[in-house]
Amino acid sequence: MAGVSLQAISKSFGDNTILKGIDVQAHSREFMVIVGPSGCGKSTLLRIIAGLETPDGGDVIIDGERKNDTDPSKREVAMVFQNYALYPTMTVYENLAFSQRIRKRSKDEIDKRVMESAEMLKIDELLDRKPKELSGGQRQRVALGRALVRKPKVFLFDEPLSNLDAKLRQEMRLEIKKLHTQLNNTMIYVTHDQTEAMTMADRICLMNNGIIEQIGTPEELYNKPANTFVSTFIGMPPINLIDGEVCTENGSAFFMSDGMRINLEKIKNIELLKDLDKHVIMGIRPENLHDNYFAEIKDPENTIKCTVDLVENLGSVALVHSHSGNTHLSASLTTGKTIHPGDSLDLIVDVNSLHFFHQETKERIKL
Amino acid sequence: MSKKIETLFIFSFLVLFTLATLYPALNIIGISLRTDDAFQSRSLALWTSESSFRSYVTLFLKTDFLTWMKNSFLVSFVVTLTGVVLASTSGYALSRFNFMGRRAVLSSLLMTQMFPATMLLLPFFILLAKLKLINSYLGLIIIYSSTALPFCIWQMKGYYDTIPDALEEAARIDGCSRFSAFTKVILPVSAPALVITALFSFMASWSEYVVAAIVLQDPGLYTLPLGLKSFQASLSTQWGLYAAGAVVVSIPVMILFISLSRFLVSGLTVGSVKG
Amino acid sequence: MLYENRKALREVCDKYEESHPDIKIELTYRETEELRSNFQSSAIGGSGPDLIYGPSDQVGPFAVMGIIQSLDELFPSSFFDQFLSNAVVRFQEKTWMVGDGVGNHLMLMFNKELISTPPESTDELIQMGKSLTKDLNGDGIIDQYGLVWNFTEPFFYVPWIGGFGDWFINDDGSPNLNTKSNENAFAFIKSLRDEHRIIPKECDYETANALFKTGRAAMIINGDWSWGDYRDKVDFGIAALPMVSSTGDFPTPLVSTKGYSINVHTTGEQLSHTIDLMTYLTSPEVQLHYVRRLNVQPSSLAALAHPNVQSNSLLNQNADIIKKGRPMPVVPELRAIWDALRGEYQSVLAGTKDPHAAAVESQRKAIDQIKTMNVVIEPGVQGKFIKGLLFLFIAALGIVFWIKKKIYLRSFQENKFAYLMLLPAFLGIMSVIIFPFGYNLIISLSNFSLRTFKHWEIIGFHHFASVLTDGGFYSLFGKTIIWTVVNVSFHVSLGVFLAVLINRTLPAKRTFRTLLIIPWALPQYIAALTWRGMFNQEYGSINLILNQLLNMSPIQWLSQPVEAFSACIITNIWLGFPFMMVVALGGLQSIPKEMYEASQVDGASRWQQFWNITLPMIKPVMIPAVILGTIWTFNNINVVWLVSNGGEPSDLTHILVSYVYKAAFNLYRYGYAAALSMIIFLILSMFTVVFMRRSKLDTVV
Ligand SMILES: Nc1ncnc2c1ncn2[C@@H]1O[C@H](COP(=O)(O)OP(=O)(O)OP(=O)(O)O)[C@@H](O)[C@H]1O
Ligand SMILES: [Mg+2]
Repeated sequence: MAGVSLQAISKSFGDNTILKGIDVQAHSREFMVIVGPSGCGKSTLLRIIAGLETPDGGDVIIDGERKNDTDPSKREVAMVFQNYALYPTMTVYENLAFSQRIRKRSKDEIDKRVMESAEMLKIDELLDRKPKELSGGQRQRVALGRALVRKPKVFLFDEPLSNLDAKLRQEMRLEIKKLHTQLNNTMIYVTHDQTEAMTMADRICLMNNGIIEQIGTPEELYNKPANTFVSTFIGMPPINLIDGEVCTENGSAFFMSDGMRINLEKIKNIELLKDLDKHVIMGIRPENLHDNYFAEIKDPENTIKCTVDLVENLGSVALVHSHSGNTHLSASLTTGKTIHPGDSLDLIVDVNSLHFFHQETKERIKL
Repeated sequence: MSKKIETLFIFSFLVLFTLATLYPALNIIGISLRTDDAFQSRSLALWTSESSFRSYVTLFLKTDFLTWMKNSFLVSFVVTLTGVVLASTSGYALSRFNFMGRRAVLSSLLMTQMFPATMLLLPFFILLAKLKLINSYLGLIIIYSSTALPFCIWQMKGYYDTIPDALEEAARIDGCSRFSAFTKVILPVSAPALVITALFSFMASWSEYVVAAIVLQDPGLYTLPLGLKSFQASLSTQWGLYAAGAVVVSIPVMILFISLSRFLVSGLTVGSVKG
Repeated sequence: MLYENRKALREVCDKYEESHPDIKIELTYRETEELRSNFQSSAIGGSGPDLIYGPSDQVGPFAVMGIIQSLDELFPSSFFDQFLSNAVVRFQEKTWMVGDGVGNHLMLMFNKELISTPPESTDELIQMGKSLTKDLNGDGIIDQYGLVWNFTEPFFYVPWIGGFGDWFINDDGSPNLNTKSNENAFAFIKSLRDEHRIIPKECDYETANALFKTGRAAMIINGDWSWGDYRDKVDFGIAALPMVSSTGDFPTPLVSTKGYSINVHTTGEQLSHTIDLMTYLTSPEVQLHYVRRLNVQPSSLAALAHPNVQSNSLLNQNADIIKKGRPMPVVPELRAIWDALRGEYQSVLAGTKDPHAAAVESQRKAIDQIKTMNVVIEPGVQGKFIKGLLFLFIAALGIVFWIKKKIYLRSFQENKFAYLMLLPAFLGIMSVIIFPFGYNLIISLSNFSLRTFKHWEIIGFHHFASVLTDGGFYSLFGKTIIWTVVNVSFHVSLGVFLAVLINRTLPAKRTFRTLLIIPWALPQYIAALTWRGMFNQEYGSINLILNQLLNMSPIQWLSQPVEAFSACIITNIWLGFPFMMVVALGGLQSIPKEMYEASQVDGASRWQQFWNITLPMIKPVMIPAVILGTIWTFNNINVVWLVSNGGEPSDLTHILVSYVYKAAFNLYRYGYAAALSMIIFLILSMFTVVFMRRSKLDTVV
């Protein structure tokens, strides 16, 4: 049981409050991804877990023990840094062996551990090289290896893939994930890339501005974003958020906005919406908009007439930016016909995948 | 102008310039090979028919030159060692920690360079006399190591600033204490700067005369510059001996400089800005 | 003290140690100037050698400072009667030194191969000189001189004042320089050089010595100390300085003694040993040993009566020459007179002043300097006030510390590691730099000088005021700025230029880099002295090269103010450019090649690349180096002092720091020198702050 639990962690640098009472728990053997925009305090949080920063308030509990005052060297966590931080004067072997030498392990033991990790990461060919003779991807593996050798209870990653190119990043993503299944220990992974978060995490902790916006599985965050921030952050391309009103006409509920009118009757708990203040923000993900042209079931009540502004072709799908009245909508549509800017387009809204948020608090309206 | 001609042009310019630069150094060698009296001669030649190694022979056989040399090596070695140890630790503290008084320390290090050194002599002397360190190497070593320190600390701090913090953080997570992260990871990386610091400390003590003259009174303790100076009486200098001595004194420093010139370029970071 | 003399001294000391096995004599040799300043410093520190051997003119200053003790109480009066009267040095009614020989006087020495009988009058001298000054091979360069001597030094000059009638100093120690005799003597020496051309244009002691020893000069004016050096090399004769034809008087060389004084801190048993040793060292036995070894004129009456001395023809001749001399004054004022005279005399020789003006001016200056030297400023109200302020300041510091103690303590605990790492270096710097700095600050507010050597008091900002209201300060400051700006700009431009050249793909690139840092590696004092030799007007390589390669007429590098200052600058440029070159090379290495390639694609010329890429990219590393370089250059005393031989000619090549040195150690004006140092410090601090702000580099700290 090597969970990590952070309780009411706060931290400021000078007058800048970076973390404002963070409560989060990574369960034992969990792959937890901390994600959020740049500068929101993710790295700081990670460094607090590692012991590289001292929190101003709150507790760091690792494996059931309060570790606030424990030196990083004694916390039994391993960390992979964004810039790898390999020791430039040591060979790859020495880099991997370093932590073990510090612990005065026997030569054979060190050798065994290093070879084990090196093989696992396929860097056994590189053991005699110095870091500067390695490519970015190789360095990344060595950095991982250095953590692996430790066999720590907790792995910490701080944007380990951000210096790699897209293809390599994807490969490494898989590999880290694979490692996790093999080693089966707790991993806390910091990134600002939502794709990484979605693909790798058991659970995601989404941070913004020093607070936690939402914690949950990738599906939860995608399907039930706690607020507009989460909804925009998770999902690519980002969700369309539309300010509007909910009105009742002839007993049916409608969402009205400039150039748009959507019948909400098919939504299950729609009564809840009616009771509220009628000003809401409606969210619809681009993937939940469909081209009327290809639609098998037409839904004229929920079809929006748009004019196309711009088309980004992504191969299997095309991201179509369009507008209706003053409302901007982007939709990702399966390419079947060529769409040109200026064309008019009928988009069908998938009413059951709509999200609603309070206009003032931006909180999700639970239906 | 084609590339080749340009290179040739620059090359020949550099050759000429280098020769001109080296001339004064060669000049001393020339004098050291002459007799005392031929020191004022109109010949530009470095080697003349009268030249001989007599001064060198005298220097090594008839004077205490070897003792002075041994003394100088001893003093310089200790000074270099202390200088490197102190500069590397305090430079590290200044580079990595944001403690109260850090800025003040840094500025005052720079400020120490601004005060005319000659006026420090009298207080030095008083201090050493009070501590009963006159005529001892300890006094000399304390002064030498400390006077070279401000620059060396700056220099070390400048170099540490170029090393990412993540390096020792990685080391600490790997199980190092603060201090062992410093000694095991940061110091090896800082080798070029350490070499430079060592070189400067060495230079500061190897050829220093003025302080040595007030601290050391016993001829048995003389360092090279003091010994050299004793060839140079106010109204009669043994120029041949002096020049030969000067050449021999310069040789170790030259060798150090030449063999370390590679590090000089990479390690001299008087002012690299943290980045 | 010559090497031979030192050896002889060691011999007699060894003998003494043999007979006194419990006593060990440690000999420490210092050159005259340093002997003085070192002994002064050690006396303040309460230590130093027990017995001091040196020239008699040190007696005055040492006695005034109270760092040597009066001998009258230590020896019976019969002891002093054993010596020639001018070997017993008295000052202010007390005896301070006993000499082991007399002499140290100037005379004419001639090469017997070239001259059979020495000239008896100046007219004869000029005549003989003319016929002996020869260009042997007809290349327009003189190969043999009639006469050589270190004529620019006052000591080597004043005998002539005597020859023209007056004396340069009055019996009460006041200067007597504004005389016709002084003017005539000025003019006479100048005419020897410019009109009759029997002496070299520039001739310092070393040059004169070497020329005479190698037979390239027929006559030399030098002291008895040089006999030992000449004995094996030249068959020489000695004679009195030739009579001045226009007056019929003989020049009057200064006759002094070298002898022993006793440190004021020597007491008790140590004192009785010292007295015993001194008795031995001045005994006839030892003096006769010197006669044998070194041909020194003994001071002991017993030794003088010894047949060995009586039969020594050289010493007999010498005794006659001594009779023409006058005793060396021992008053501390002598130094001020020398100083005033030296400057004005050198102006005459440089042709920038006429003899009359120089005589008037030297008198005025001497009086002025004596006044500043002797003045004791009493601590008035201001002094008490400042003292109070200092106490208040320290108390305030203490109180602030006490109040903020918690904060400090917490900061310490949070950063214990950092503080511990810093501590040893901090202690070192603290004791070696901060303490002396504080000491100087206090001295600069005090009346510490020759006359208040042992009991100085705080007087306030007097010295600061006198520095800032003195016009001399501003001209020195101006020179220092020229010195710094010229040097640093050459260091930087040459350094960057060479770095850019070396950084290209060149054959033997590393070799260039290595060879070009040699000036940096050479110990500074060795380099400076070598350059001084190279600047010699006749024998220095620079003029020889200029002459042989460019056919230029020789430049008087060391005796003309502007040239001498340029010589210092050239030397320092040579010494300083490698540092900047290395820094620039480091900077250049961090510039990615792509930047140049990109700009090449954009069609930029080499020059544009340099301005738009190279310079901005190396600027961040160059600026701190420039700041350091500026500070170092501003405060570089070595080069100026050694190349210009302490500010020659006429103290016109001083920069602020070398003047500080002169004020403190040559003129005993410690308070003034300390104040000047504080001002230098402030100037440099302001410069640094402004420069850093300007170049937005305060972020470095
Ligand atoms: N040592 C420090 N001193 C002062 N401010 C700091 C320090 N470290 C971080 N900060 C500030 O704290 C905030 C959070 O930094 P942090 O590194 O945790 O961000 P992040 O979420 O990791 O961002 P990124 O995704 O860009 O790495 C930033 O605004 C940063 O400027
Ligand atoms: Mg980060």
